[in-house]
Parts: sequence; C-alpha cells; structure tokens
Amino acid sequence: MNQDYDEPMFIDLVSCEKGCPEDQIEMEIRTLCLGQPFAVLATQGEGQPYASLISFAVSDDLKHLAFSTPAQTRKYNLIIKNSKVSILVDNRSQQPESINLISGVTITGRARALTDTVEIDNWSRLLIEKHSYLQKFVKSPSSSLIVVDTVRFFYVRRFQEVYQWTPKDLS
Amino acid sequence: MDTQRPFLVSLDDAYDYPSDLLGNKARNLSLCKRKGFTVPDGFSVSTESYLSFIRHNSLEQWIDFELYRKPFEEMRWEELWDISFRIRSAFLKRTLPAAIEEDILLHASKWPVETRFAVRSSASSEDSSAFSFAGIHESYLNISHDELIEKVKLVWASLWSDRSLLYRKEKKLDSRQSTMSVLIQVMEPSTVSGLAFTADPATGQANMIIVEIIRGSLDLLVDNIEEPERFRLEKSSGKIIQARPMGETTLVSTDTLQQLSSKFLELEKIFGQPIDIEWTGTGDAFTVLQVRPITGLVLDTQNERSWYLTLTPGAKAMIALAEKVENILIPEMIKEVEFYTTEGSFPEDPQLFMERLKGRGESYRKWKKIYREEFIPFAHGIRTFGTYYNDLIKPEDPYSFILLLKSDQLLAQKRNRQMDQLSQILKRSPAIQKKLSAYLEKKENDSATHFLECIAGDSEDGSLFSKAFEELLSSQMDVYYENRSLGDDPKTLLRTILSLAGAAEKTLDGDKNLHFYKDLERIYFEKAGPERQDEALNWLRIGRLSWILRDDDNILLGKLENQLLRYMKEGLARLKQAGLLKDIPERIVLEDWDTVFNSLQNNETLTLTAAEPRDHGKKHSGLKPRQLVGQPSSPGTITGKARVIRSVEDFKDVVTGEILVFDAVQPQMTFIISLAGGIVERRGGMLVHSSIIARELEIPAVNGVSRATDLIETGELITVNGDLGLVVIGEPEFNMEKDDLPV
Repeated sequence: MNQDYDEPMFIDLVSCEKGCPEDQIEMEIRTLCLGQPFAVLATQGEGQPYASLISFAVSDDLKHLAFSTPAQTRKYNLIIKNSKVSILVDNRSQQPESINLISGVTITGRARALTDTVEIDNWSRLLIEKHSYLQKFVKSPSSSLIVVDTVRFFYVRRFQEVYQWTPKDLS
Repeated sequence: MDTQRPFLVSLDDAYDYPSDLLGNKARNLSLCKRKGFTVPDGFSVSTESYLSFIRHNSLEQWIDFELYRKPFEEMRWEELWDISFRIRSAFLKRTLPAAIEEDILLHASKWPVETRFAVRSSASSEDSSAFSFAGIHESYLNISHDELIEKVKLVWASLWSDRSLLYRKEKKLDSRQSTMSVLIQVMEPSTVSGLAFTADPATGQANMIIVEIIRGSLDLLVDNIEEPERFRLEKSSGKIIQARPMGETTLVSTDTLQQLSSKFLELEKIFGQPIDIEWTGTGDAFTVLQVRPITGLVLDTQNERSWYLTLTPGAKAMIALAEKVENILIPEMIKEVEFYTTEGSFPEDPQLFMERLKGRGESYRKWKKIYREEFIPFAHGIRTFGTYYNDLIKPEDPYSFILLLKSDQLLAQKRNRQMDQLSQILKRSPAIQKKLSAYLEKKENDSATHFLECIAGDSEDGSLFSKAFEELLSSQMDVYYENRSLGDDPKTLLRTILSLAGAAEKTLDGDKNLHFYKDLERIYFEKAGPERQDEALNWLRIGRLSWILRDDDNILLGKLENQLLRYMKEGLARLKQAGLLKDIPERIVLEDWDTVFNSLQNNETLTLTAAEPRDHGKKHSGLKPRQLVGQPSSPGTITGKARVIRSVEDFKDVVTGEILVFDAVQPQMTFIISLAGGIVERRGGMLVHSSIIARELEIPAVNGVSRATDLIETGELITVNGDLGLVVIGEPEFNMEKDDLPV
C-alpha cells in the first residue's frame, strides 16, 4: 500500500494475506486435541459445575471426543441428567516457563453414553490406540464409553488471543 | 580455574572463564594482556550478575510477557521499539542485588575518584567468529564512579534493544537464551587512536592491512565525527599501497605505521585468523582496546542490517539532520506544494500539459525518496528525546515525555481548528444545520457549491459558513488519501462537520493543563543541571521539531501526491479520448506516471499494470475471532459498534460514538477520529498518529492488531480495552449450544 510510507521494509512480515492464520489456528487446535492425552471435563448438576480429569481421544474431524468412565462416578451420573458439557484441553504442563507459549481450547458439546456395540467397538479402539494402558479399564463391563458431540471450540493462545472455531467446516 | 561462576572477574583472569560467562570481548582482551600487550585495566561484570539482576527483579517473566504476546513476525519496527523502550525503562528503575552493586563499586574504588571508565557490552555471542554484533549493543565512555551502576543496567538493557532483537532474529538466535556481561575499563588519554583490519573487510582480501587513524580518542572515529586518515598496506612487504588523504599523512610517520602493522600481525597470529582491532597510542604506548575476528564483519556488511541502523542516527547526525530538515527540506517542500497548487487549471496545450505532469511526477519521486531517507530517520528524534528524557527523569510512565512535545503548530491542527469553527457556526444556527441535514439526505446529486451559494444568501452565519467551508476545501483538502483526493467529495466533509456539531464538546487541540507542562519542562531542565542545559535544550528542540514534522510531512506529501493524481487522471482521460486507453482504472498507481507521460508523448496505446486489488481477507466460515491482542495505545474501555474504514467512502457512514477500525491512520484524515468512541488499528506503536490523538481526546484505543480490518466487520459489537490492549468481538453467548438446536 503506497500510503503507508512508515511501514518498515526491514521486518520480513510473513505473508498471511491469503488466510494462513485460519489454517494455522485450525492446525493448532488439531495438534492440541490429538496430541494431549488428558483433559478437564466440566459437567453440571443442581446448578453446580463439576470438573474432572479424563483421558480422551478425538475423531479425525474433531466432531466427536470420547472417554471412558465407570458408571458409578459422579461425572457419569451428571451427564445422564444433563448432557451439556465443556472440556478443556491445554499444553500448560509442557510450557511452565512462558505464559505466552501456553495454548488451550475449551470445547462445548453434548455428551451421551454409548449403547450401540458397533459404536462402542469403534470408539474403544480409538481410545485404546491413544492410551494403550487403559485397555482393561475401557473394556471393563463396569465402564461406560461416553462420546461428546462437539459444538464449538474456543481456542486461546498467547495468553489472550481467542478464536472461536466450529468443526463442521473442516474440509 | 575457578569452577564457580563468579559475579565479577578481573581482566587478568578473564581468559580462564568461558565466553558464556564473560563474553568474547573480555576474553579476547584478557588473552592480549597475557601475551604482553598493554590493555586498559578493568574487570568484567559477568552474565551471572546479569541473571541475578533479572531474577532479583522477576524480569524474566516480564520480558517474556512484553516480547511474546504477539508473534515477532507480525510486529512492526515501531512496536518493537516500544517494547525495547519499556524494557529499558524497567531496567533503569530496578535495583541490582545489593551484594553485586557493592562489589562493583568496591572493585572500581581501587582507581581514584577522578578516573573515567568505559562501560562496554560483552554479550555471550558478541565478537565471536560467527556473530560480530558490531554497533548493536550499547557502550558508554567517560563514565564516573557515580554513574557506573546505571550504565551497567543500560548496557544490559541493550540486549533487548530493537536493533539487538532484529539482529538476533536475522541470525536466528534465540533471544530467550541471550545473556550479557559488561566490561568496565579505565579510560586512558590518547594522542592518536584508530581501527585496523588484518584483511580487507569488504572483499575479504587476506594480503591487506587496513589502518584508520585519528587524533585523540577512538569514539570520535567510531561515531563518524572525525574523518580518519586511511592506509592500505601489503601484509607481506609492509608497503603502503594507498593513503587517504594523499600525501597528507601527518598523524604518524611511515616508520610508526609499519611498527603498528607488525603489532597487528602479531595479534592476528595469536588469534589465528584475520582480526579487527581498536587501538590507541603508538610505540610503547600502544594499547589494545578491542579485538575480534573479522568473519562476522564481512557477513554484516553484506546484509540488510544497515537499513535499520540508519533509522537511529547518532547524536551528531541527528543534529545535522534537524538543521537540514528544518531550514532546507521543509521550506523547499512547502514552496513546491505552493507552486503546483497555484498553477491553475489543466492547460489545453498537450505539450504544456505533459510538462506539468512530468514536473509533478518528478517532484513526487524526489520527495518520496527524501521521505524515506531523511524524514523517517528524523522522525526518530521523538524517540531519541524520549530516551534522553527517561534517562534523566526515570518517570513512572515511560511515555510522559510526549507532554513536553505538544504543539499547536501542526498542519493537521490548523485544519481541525477550521473544522471546529464550522461546527460552531452550525451549533449556533439551527436553521443552517437543518438545511445541511436536508441537503445531505437528498438522493439527487445536488452540487455542494450550489448548496453553499444558497445558504450564503440566507444569513450572515450562512455566508460565514459558506466562506469558511470553501477556505477549508481549498487550503486543507487538496490532499491525497487512499487513491482519492479528499476535496473531491465535499459532501463527506460536510457530513463530518454536521456530526461534529452534534457531538459532545471535544476539541482536538485542547491544552488542558498548561501549568502541568510548564512544570514538567522546569523539572526537565533542573534535572539536567547547569552543565547539561545546552544538551537538554538541544534534544528538546529536536524532539519538538520531529514531532511537528512527522505530521506535516505526511500532509505536504499528500498534497504533492494529489497534484500528481489530478494530472494522471486528466492524462488518462485524454488518452481514453484519443482511443489509446480502453478503461481508466479504478485505482491509479502513482508510480505509473511516466508510463502515462510516455504514452501521451508518443501517442502510443497504454496498457497499465493492474493495481493489485485490495484483498480484505477471506473469512473461514468456521473461524471467528473472539478476542484480538494489540498494543494498549490509549487507556479506557468502550463497547460499541465497529465501523471499518477502508477508504474515504467509509467516512460518510460514520456515526458519532462508533469504534473506528483502521488499517493505518494518516494525518490527512485524522479529523474523522473526533467522532470516534474508540479506535482499533492494524499499524501499531505508542507514537503513531492514532495513539497520540486518542490519548489527547481521551478515547480508548488499541493498535498493532494484526489484520484488524479483515477480522472485524462493520456493525459488529466490539469492546476496546485500551488498558490491556485487547479487542473483544461479540458478546459471551451460548446460542449454538441451545437445547432446541440440533446437535
């Protein structure tokens, strides 16, 4: 732009004119969700939010997220009564030195306990592929497989930069 | 060798320690000392002291927070400079761990009170065979005992200077891993000093020694204050191949020069590769001030580093530049603007028309070059003054120096005052206001001239308004902005004035607290003390001049551009009429003026390179920004509707109180800001036009928001947080998660 004389010529700006930040953010969300083994699940009941740590896996299109839980747990019972959940995935344990290097994604969605055996088979495989040590836990008859159908991803990076992303447009 | 990592090390022992503790500068000198060369006595303040200072003040997280909140690639030089400036201010205000401070003063106390020191940077990667860092970090000369601690802090801070950060980025060095040690040495009075290279640094020719000599101390040469005598000697024979100035080699005899050369070669042998030496004295008084491998220098002269170094002229260069800008360039520019604007209408005669087009084209080319090469570096005078002021005052707010630079002499302010007067007339004359509203609402194309004629006949105020508006149009709006002449659309301007009349009382040139500024000025000169009155006055003068110029030069250049644009449009119309051009493009590239000229002259068909269409970014339908990060350029928080400004066209829709979103705010159009409730801008920096105006008008602003005009849409509800540098888009909602929506 010829108006912008003050524009310095000596910083080689990465050209992102053609939508590269979007692709980059999508990639960062995928990296987090596929790479992080654990997440924080938020459920609710009687107006009370309740957070728990889970081992999880996601589908390739990020439309679904799965974890396993014994049916006696508080989180399981809360989900049965109110399917609206939120999940936080972040990399803070890998970046203790700099707040600017931490990124996290808050996912909103609807959780359901699986009953269909084909679905259970598929999701168990995915979960065990990522967490092989959980085989016994996942396969246990007392455990239930929960799938969250994701709605929105709120991605935060560099402490304060926030984007909302919806997986349905993933091509 | 001591296995501990000490805070201080004497120059005698420095060679025994690794370069990550003391830097190569200290180690190289220590080696020279061991090999029997005279080196000014001194000691190193190690990187361990630096780290201890950083930890003691929790500066690690602080620097991280400042530097990495935005990707480095997306930061403009101005933003980088601001970050460095804030880090420097923070270093100055912090204290050293008491034990280290006492130790430094104790070490220095072995020299008498009148001793003067050189306080030099010796960063861990500096002066190595791969990276020279020449001229990147700070060094201070003639420093008294009392000033030592402050200068140590300033040398440390220079690890985070804009130049240093850019250099590291270029060399792909990790700033987070960089540390800095400081070398403190006694200054020796010298009769002659100089530089030497045991290979040609420009060509790398190994059989050459290059020697530069000046009278007195070396800083006169390093700062380019005095022109040295320069010699090229053949390494193998010691023969002088070239001398400059010819036949006037008066500072040393040929014998002495050859003796010096053999000293340089002895040193080269010690280091095992071609070296660059800073030295002082001859014969027995020969003293080594600095030695470093030449490899880095050859690399440096070939890269672009010099570009950003030219932006920060040294003190003497800045003073010379101020003289030139104030007394030669600006008056010349004003004269040229006057000449072209008073030349009248387009001449019918094709030859005369072409001459005028050419005159404007060449003038544009010339001034654009001057703008880049002289005006931009001179605009840095504000920053030089700010640094000087902060060193003197150490204020809580590092930008408080701006208060001392305020002026009501800016061209933009003259324009704003004229607009203010017009809105005052509207305020006291509801009748005119009503007529103006009606005129602006009319769908049919009624000319502004006709409207003005009508109201001029109506009343005294009508006549006053009409006259003042014509004056504003001719004197201030003959300016180019975003491919348009601001004067081409008087309706937009009338609309702005009408909005101004309806807006709450706010003046762009308010000098609310004159006493406060006067007080600041008094404190400034008091702090400078009697010995530095002239120096302080000089920097204040340069700061003020540069403050005015950075605004005015844009407007003057905008006027010259507008003159060229007018002639190019007319030229293109003539070509079209002659059947030599198919369509007049929507966006005209000013640089194409000579193509238009040639086509007119030779009666040739014109094909213009199509101007790149403005790509405002395609939004990914699945991605929405919720919170964007920029620089907090004016404090306060406001929520309102966004109005994205991409061209003059968008001005006419601005509703008072909206948050204006710009790519880059130029002084040509700052008047529109008086209607804004808040500002968001892609171009960042605490000293860019929008920051200054926003602070003056006390409206919240955030700039340095990457792709602001792409990511924000007109009509969106946004919140500008000017305290934290955040822009929040939309309200927190869970519409998509609602029960009745399909999952």
